Parts: sequence; C-alpha cells; structure tokens
Amino acid sequence: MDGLIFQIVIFLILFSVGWGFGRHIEQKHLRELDEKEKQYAHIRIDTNRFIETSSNGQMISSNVVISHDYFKYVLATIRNFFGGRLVSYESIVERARREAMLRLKQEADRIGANHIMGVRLSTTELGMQGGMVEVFAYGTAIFHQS
Amino acid sequence: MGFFIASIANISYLQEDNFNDLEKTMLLSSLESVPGHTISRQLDVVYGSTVRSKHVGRDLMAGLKNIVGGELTGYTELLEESRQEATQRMIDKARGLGANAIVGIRFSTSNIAQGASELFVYGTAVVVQPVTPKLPDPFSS
Repeated sequence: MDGLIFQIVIFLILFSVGWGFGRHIEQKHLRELDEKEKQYAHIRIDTNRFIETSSNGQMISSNVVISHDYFKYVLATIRNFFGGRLVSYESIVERARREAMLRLKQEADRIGANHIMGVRLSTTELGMQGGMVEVFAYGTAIFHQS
Repeated sequence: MGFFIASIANISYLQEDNFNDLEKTMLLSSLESVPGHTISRQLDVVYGSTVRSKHVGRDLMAGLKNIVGGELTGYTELLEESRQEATQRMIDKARGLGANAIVGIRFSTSNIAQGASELFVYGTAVVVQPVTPKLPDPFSS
C-alpha cells in the first residue's frame, strides 16, 4: 500500500514539474522564435532545385533535438488510447522545425549569403519512449552579387 | 565513468578533424547543379555513413530533460558531429574518383538498434567547371 502511495506521489510531482517547466520552456522558446524569425526575415528561402545561377553557393545544414516533457507524455499516452490528433506532440514537432529553419538562416547569414535554395527537412524520432524528435534541415546557400 | 571515457574519445576525434580540413576544395550542393558552375562530367553515386550510439552522461541528462522538455544540446551536437563524419567519408570517396564536386546531396537517418542511429548521406560525384561571367559587350546597344 505504501509503495502505491509513493508511486502516486512521484507521478504527481513529475506531472506538475512537467506541466510547470514544460509550459514555461515552450512559451519562452516560442517568444524567442518569433523574435529571431523577424530578425532573419531578409533571407529568402525556397525548395527549388533546378534554378541556374551564376553566383557561387555552398551547402549548409542545421539540426535540433527537442524532447517532450512529462505532462505531454501523459497527455499523449491517454490520447493514444482513444486515437485522434496528438495536439501536444504537434507543438513539439512544429517548434523543432521552426528552430531548425531559423538555424539554417543564421548559418547562411554567418557566411554572408542571403538566399537558400533546395531546402529539405527530415524528421527522426530518437529512441527512448519516443519523446525525442530531431529535425535536420539542409540546403544550398547562394551568394548573390549585388 | 562512461561520461569521462566518451568525453576523451570526443576530444581526440575533434582534434583529428581539425587536421584534415580538405573539405574546402570539394564543392557540395543539395541542388541538381553547383551554383556558378557547369557540370562537365558525371561520375558515380557516392555515399558515406556512420553509426553512432549515445553515451551514458548524455543519456542521464536526456532522461532529466524528458521531464521538463526543451532542447537536448548534447544530442544536437552528437548528431551534427556524426553527420560531418559521414560527409567526410563521402568526400573521401568522391576524391578517390577524381571528382571536384558532389551534387544532389541527400541525408537520411534511421534507428537501427535501441540507442544507436545511422546517419547516411549520398550524392552524385561530378566534375565541374566555373562559369566565366559574361562581360557586357562594349560595341552593342
């Protein structure tokens, strides 16, 4: 009986810590993303592979690994039982994609390019309980003469 | 224990990486061509891969981070290093064929075992020549 109570207490602690910190980290991350996306908005980005240019280019890549929090894990487990959209995980994947694209733009900015062509995104799930998602973005940065 | 050994292994790997800074001579492109160059000869498909596992220190941190959420910087770095190594292997193969560029590069990742993932990169090795920019003709217009 004591063991069960102990387990429930641990669960509740993890659940509330996950809820509190998870929400805080997510909102902070979204604010940062909004801010930095505005900062790097001048870099053009497209998925076209066939354009011929006379400018030089260089391949760039970026990646990010984001994990879920315990609160989202519990929500997803419950949701898994009924089926349907896992809204809590959708936000993780979206954050990871935006972050990866942003880092790609930062990398392009660092090497002095203002256009990225042929961008590809790939998403991988990294083991454990399926809570870690990696987004890898790559493309070719073009140095336009101006 | 695992953390220390893995950190030492990492440091020696990074030092080794600084020495072969040959990547600059090989042009890489994820497009169908190299920007600013024309393809004069198609050679062959080249690829490089590496299988990496996580190490104990990072796994512990990841376990904690799984409760509060957020970015796992350790894994981000690990995967970036592994991709660089795979790319380096691909470049070595292309150099063996006598290519000076690789076009149409694609990356793929797969989980092959619990805690280990394979990073795979492939592309077409080609020989390219720079396009000489057309000078404006002074007699026309």
